[in-house]
Amino acid sequence: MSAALNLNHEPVTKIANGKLAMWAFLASELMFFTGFFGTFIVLRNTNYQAFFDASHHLSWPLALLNTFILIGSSLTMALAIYNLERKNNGMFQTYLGLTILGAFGFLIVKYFEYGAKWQDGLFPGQENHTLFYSFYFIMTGFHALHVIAGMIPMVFMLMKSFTKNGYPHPVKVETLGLYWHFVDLMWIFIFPALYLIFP
Amino acid sequence: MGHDHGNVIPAYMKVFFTLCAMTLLTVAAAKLVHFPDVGFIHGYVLNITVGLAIAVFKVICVMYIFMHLKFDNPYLRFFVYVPVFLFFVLTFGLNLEFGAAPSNDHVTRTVHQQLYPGDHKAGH
Repeated sequence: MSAALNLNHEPVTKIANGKLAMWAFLASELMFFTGFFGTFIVLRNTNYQAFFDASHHLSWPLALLNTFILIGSSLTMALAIYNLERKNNGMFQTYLGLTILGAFGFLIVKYFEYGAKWQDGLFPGQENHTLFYSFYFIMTGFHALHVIAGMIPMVFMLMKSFTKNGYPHPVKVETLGLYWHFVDLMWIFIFPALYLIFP
Repeated sequence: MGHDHGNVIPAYMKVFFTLCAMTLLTVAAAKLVHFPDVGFIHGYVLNITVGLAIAVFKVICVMYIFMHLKFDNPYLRFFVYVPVFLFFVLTFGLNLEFGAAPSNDHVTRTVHQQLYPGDHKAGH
């Protein structure tokens, strides 16, 4: 008697299909950001003075605060998955709620950062805008879009967890967790590259 | 199909506090420490390299513990190692090239003079 083919996971490695697909997606995302980092480093090397001057308008303490917020939200995401796998719905809701709150806090800090840049005329199309700020807005902007994209399914899962059966798909939350940790990883590189690379 | 990895909370907490400490170390390495020149590599290139090395350590912590790479099927690591390796090669390679290659000597001289105005060593 042959075992039925299980389409929920890859047959040899037993890795869930969604998880494998997410890793493949994250690999492509890493290459996407690698393009930004590579171009940024090359252009910084050939326009050092302009990049050096422009970088001093950035607020590294605000970026440091955002780093701690994202690290904290990575922890709460991991704890949310841990609790859902143990069918502890209340703790799952608490930790997922904290993760969403962290994401929201990150965006609020980013709003204040962007607001200060707008006031200083450093936005694209403004008088003080430079090549450095093109990279700043593209890299942090795409990163912020990733944060927003992560928040949407998180809110959906949280709302669904308040129904009678709770949220019934731990693997989906684990897959979303991979994405969320990747968002944290990218910030770990963006933070020193943009805010700290010039002494 | 969730995997039970046992009680991983102590490991999560260790990673969380390590990440916080490493973040502060990154800021200190960038803002407080000025490395001396080592051979043909300028000190500020070492500052950048140390910052990136700390970031690499943080990335490994997150991938292995938070993203469960340590606990999942080892085949999965092939998916991860190749793009991560390419990313590191590019960022480290470009940064070291900046400080070490003779073709960039005029750039490194200018940078050195901006960082250390009183030191004329790099200008010769």
